[in-house]
Amino acid sequence: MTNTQTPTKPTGVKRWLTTVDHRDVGRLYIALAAVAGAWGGLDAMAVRTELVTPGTGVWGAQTYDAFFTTHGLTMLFFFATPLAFGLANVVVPLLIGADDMSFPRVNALAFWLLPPALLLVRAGTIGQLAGISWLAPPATGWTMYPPMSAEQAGVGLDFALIGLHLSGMSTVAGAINLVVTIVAERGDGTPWHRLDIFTWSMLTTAGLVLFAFPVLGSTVVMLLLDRNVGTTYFAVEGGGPLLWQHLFWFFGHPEVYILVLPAMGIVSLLLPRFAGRKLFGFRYVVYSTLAIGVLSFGVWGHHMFATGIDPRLRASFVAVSLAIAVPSAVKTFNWIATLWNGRVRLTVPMLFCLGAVGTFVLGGVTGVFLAAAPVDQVLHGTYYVVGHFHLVLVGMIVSALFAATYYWFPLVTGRLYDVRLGRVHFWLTLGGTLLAFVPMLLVGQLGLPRRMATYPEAFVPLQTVATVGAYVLGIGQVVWLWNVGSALWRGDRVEAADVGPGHRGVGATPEWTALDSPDAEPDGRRGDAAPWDRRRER
Amino acid sequence: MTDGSDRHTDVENLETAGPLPEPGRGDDASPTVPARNPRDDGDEPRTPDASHFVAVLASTTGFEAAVWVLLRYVPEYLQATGVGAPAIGAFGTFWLAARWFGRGRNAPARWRVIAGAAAAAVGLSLWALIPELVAGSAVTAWLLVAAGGVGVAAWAHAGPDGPVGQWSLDDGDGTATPDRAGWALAALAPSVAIFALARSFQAGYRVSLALAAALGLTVAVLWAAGGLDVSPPGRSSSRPRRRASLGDVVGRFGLTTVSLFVVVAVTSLPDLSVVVLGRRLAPAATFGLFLAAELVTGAAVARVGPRVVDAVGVRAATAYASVAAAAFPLLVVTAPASPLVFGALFAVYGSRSLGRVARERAEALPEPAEALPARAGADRDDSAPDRRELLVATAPLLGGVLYAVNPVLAFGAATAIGAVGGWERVRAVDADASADR
Ligand code: HEM
Ligand SMILES: [Cu+2]
Repeated sequence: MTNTQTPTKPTGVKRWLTTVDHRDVGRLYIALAAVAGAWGGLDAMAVRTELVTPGTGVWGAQTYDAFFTTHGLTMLFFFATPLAFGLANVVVPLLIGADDMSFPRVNALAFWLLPPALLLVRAGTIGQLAGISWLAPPATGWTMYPPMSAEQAGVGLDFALIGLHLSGMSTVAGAINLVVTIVAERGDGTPWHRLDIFTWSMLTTAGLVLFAFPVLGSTVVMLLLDRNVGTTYFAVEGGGPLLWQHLFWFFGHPEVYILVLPAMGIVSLLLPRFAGRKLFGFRYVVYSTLAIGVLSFGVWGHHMFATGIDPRLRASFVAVSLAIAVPSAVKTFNWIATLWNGRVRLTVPMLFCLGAVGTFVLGGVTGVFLAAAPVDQVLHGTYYVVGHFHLVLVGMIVSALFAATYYWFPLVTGRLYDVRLGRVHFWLTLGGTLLAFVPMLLVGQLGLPRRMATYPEAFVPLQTVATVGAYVLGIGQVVWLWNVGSALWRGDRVEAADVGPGHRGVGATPEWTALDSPDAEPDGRRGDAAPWDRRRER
Repeated sequence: MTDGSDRHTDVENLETAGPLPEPGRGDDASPTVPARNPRDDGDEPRTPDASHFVAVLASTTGFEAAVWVLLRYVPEYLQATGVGAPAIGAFGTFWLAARWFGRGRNAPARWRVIAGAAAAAVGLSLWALIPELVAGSAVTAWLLVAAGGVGVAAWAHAGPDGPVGQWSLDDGDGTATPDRAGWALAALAPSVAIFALARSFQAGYRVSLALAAALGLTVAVLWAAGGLDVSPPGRSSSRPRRRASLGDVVGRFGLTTVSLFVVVAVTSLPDLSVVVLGRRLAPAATFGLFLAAELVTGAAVARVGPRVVDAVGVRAATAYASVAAAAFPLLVVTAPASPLVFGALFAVYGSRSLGRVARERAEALPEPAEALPARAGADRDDSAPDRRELLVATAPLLGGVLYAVNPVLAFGAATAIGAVGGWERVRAVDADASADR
């Protein structure tokens, strides 16, 4: 080892418990997201397993309700959001030439709030497995509408609300850190007009978090008080159940953009690199990101078209919802234009980017239909909605996040992954997504309500296709885990100069310089830190 | 690449159709970077190939084992959906006959494995739809059973080793090697868990079908992305098959008449339940445990069998195996319904492969196996089709008809025929011994 830096990082477990290094915190975020993703994925498999038969074949209705509730909560709050923030943690400071995040300790704090939050949200599941009768998982759906959520017995739901509150605090802390870092810590080489597209997206995302999550935080506290202290925020004699929906969706719709903007940023950053071209219309991609950020706070009512809100209000929500599709389409056209005449290399990250763009068209267009109130009157509460948002959430967001994990895999782990397994993972993910969620659009159009453990026999064929698709999707993620696990265990170590095409070869970007000069790490805060260091021991 | 240079003008025009974007720090500095890195030898960095190999091997063998497990339960499934015993038997005959006509395997071509796995996935998914459609129309239901069966048979034929065909419905003694038993146990474990959790056998079986279908699609994708260049270690795809002796054929015919109905008979015994952690296991899960017992002794015989044969002699081993195999059917329908008794019954049944070990021993000991002269009823012939196998294929149909009349009749007949086969086997050993002398 040539490394003679003086203040070295602790090693082993202590390193991970005490780290404030943005890259290590980012790695922790990613690891937590992997655990939560697996857990939420098991929930999803359980949900689909129940739907193999039209009757209650395996779990029964109550357990089924609990499974789709914990699935939604886990995936949204503990898988997708932490994964996006974890990736941002690793690469944003490198991309903008910052030493670290602005507030490294706040950064670590934000992460460490998440594991207890996850355990609180999942306490009911643990209680159920342990046979504790008063600790059942919530069974209200992730939207937790009162009066059902106000009345559901047991403390499982209370724990979940506290957990959500904690996770909200964590996300807000992370967002503050990102905003300040991007605004104040950019290096000399990065004036605003040279900010990369992923950082722009994360900046916007963090801004949305700052306005959306506090609303969620206070809303869940209000529900907690209604449940335990006898306040009447959402009681019929008080604020009314509809108040919850307004507050929840004022958070909830921005939340879906909090999830999708990082994904869009990833696609915008990676896709040009494997198309051999600049991002087409860079400036307009940035503008559309900012536009989405603003508009996303004006569309929450489209989740409430069926509640009997004032028709004039409804009309304005229709208009804004249709309008928000425009910037999304701008991005899509820019991606396609970037590919046009490009020389596309179908690397694993590129495959995932292309899959993301393709499914986003499907998911986005189905959303536009829902934005028309008369159509939504028919489709609200059906599987169509489930098909729509999963095509976006899984097809677009998860695919883009995977593209990023493959692209930055050498940076994060210091190892190389197996490319063939990566391709298998991609095809299983894309195929599984389409098999699982397109049938949902169809059964939804035929009027099948969502969130039911049973269904009429006529839907068996389409439901079976969806279940097999979901299982394929699940097995695909096992392939991914196996690939990551075996790469960590015995994968080839990264040679700084040999990260391969798309990394060094095309448009080398600053984050990769971290591989070239591990000794130039900020503050000398590293000892055995960077795994790519170990290449020298060979 | 040839037209790359003249295209550039287009590219630039396209980009200047709007204001040229300022290249951000994270952007490509230039639109004209080479499409491929010169060092790029195809796609991406060097890779640890072993992990891909392991993934293909595990999922392929796992899928084979899963299909095997599912086939063991097919009759129960058909019965639960209201299909009668003769029709179940007809399914077995169809299956075995298809196998006979599809014999003569080549080395696994990649595309055949892909197509076979995909066809099996479709077939298994179709099977999952049977219960609803059987209520609608018996004809559609039958078309589904047959179409699904064709898909699964395609995999049995095209799969890397075809073990589905080899160790499925005709209960020969070729089932057990430690490897196979291990994989089968691995596939059995989740099925037992599913059966234990599910509220009905049908529900559990349909979940298993859907899971296996997904695994089949995974296998297809894995092989499409490369597959294996060689057949997996320890499993040769063209092991020369010894032409069966008369005793073998008759014995197998006997067992095969009712092998399909074993699961139906066992799960219909209400007293036969195991309590695990305070829960009564579902009958299908209990049956899975019995299957496990059979696999375990089978694997044990594969291990220690040769030594046992050497110790007790070929004749005794053959006699034991014949009795174990022949007595099994009658005992299934007459033995006291206690889990321990049935566990022991299946375990003893699993040890019937001692007969095969004895046979191999007998052939290997006196002279080199290659130079074997024609023996009484056991001539080696790999190429000519053994028409007697086609005879065995009719056994399930016969068994189904008998079973419809009376289960004890069917199982009793199986034991009687099996006893004749066993007697002939022992006689052949004696004849050999005297010929050698
Ligand atoms: C292209 C613009 C989009 C439009 C116009 C749109 C429109 C809609 C509408 C009208 C609904 C309500 C349907 C109902 O409940 O009756 C809805 C539901 C939903 N959308 Fe979208 N959407 C868009 C993009 C997205 C994106 C990008 C995401 C995710 C990142 C997303 C995630 C969801 C979710 C999670 C729900 C269902 C919430 C629930 O009830 O549990 N949508 N969408
Ligand atoms: Cu919305």
